Amino acid sequence: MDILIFIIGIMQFIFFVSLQCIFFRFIDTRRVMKWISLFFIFSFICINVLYAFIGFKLNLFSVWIVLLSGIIYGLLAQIYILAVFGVIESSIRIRVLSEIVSYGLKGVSYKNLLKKYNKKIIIDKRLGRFVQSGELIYDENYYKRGSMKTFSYIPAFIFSLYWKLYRSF
Amino acid sequence: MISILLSILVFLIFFVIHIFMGRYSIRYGCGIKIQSALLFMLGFLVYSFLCFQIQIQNPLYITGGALYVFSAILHFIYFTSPYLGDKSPSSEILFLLSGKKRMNYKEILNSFHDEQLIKKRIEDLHRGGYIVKKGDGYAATKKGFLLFGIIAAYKNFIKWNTGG
Repeated sequence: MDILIFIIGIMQFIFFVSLQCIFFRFIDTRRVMKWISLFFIFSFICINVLYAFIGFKLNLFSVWIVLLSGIIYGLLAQIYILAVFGVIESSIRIRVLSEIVSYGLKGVSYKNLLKKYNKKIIIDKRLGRFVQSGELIYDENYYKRGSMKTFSYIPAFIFSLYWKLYRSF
Repeated sequence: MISILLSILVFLIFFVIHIFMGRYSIRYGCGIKIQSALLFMLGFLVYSFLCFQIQIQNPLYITGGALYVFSAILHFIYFTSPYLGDKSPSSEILFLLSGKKRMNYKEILNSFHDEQLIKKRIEDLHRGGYIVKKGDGYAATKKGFLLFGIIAAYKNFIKWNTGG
């Protein structure tokens, strides 16, 4: 049972990453969170349906297998999204590095860098993404919080919690 | 189940220790080191030791170990934000609009500064050896080009053109 939980968790994760690598080239980049959430749930369901066909018997052990493999999968998926995909999608440092690299060995001045990449670009991108995912509502020239709580809310909440835990006195 | 509870318990104990270490070092200005997250390796040794010491029926050592290791890695990722001292703009936007507050585009934009968003990151890249100062600007180092190459290869693989 122990190794089975681990294997199912890993399989769900591999299936999720494969879906993301194959299909992300076709999606609307502003709806990235929606697609990540869909792929995440779809992978969980697919692998568990496969497990149901192969060896699932409705008992307490099977429930534990689905639950614990799901937790392992959830942790791995979060690591991948935050440390790999999240870095290329929304890391400001990586974007700044990319802009500097694009000028080659001669480099670029801070002023010229700001012409290509600045707070307006950063905030526009995030506001667009939040509005698309339903977390923010744009109404009569004003932004406000929407009722939708998507998967992107979880990391944002945990990041602010970590700030409070480590840096609030 | 006992191995799962054991891994959660050990993780929580080391998580609390790490928070106290972090708060103490930030408060007294000694600066928390990123290596302090290695404390969780000690936690894994404690978990392994306890698993071997306690006789458990139907043990879930691998699952418990995996839960501990993945939680520790995730903790490390979340911890880099207060460690580096920069809140992500996404969290900041959600914080600004928390409750029933509403703001227009200009107000949101004025809550951020290029210095805070860009300059600080440039300084981090400089400290990390990814870029060097060149005249009044910056140029990438070999290390910077290498990191960019890895990221470009991944982006090319999934055909993802946006970023930042």
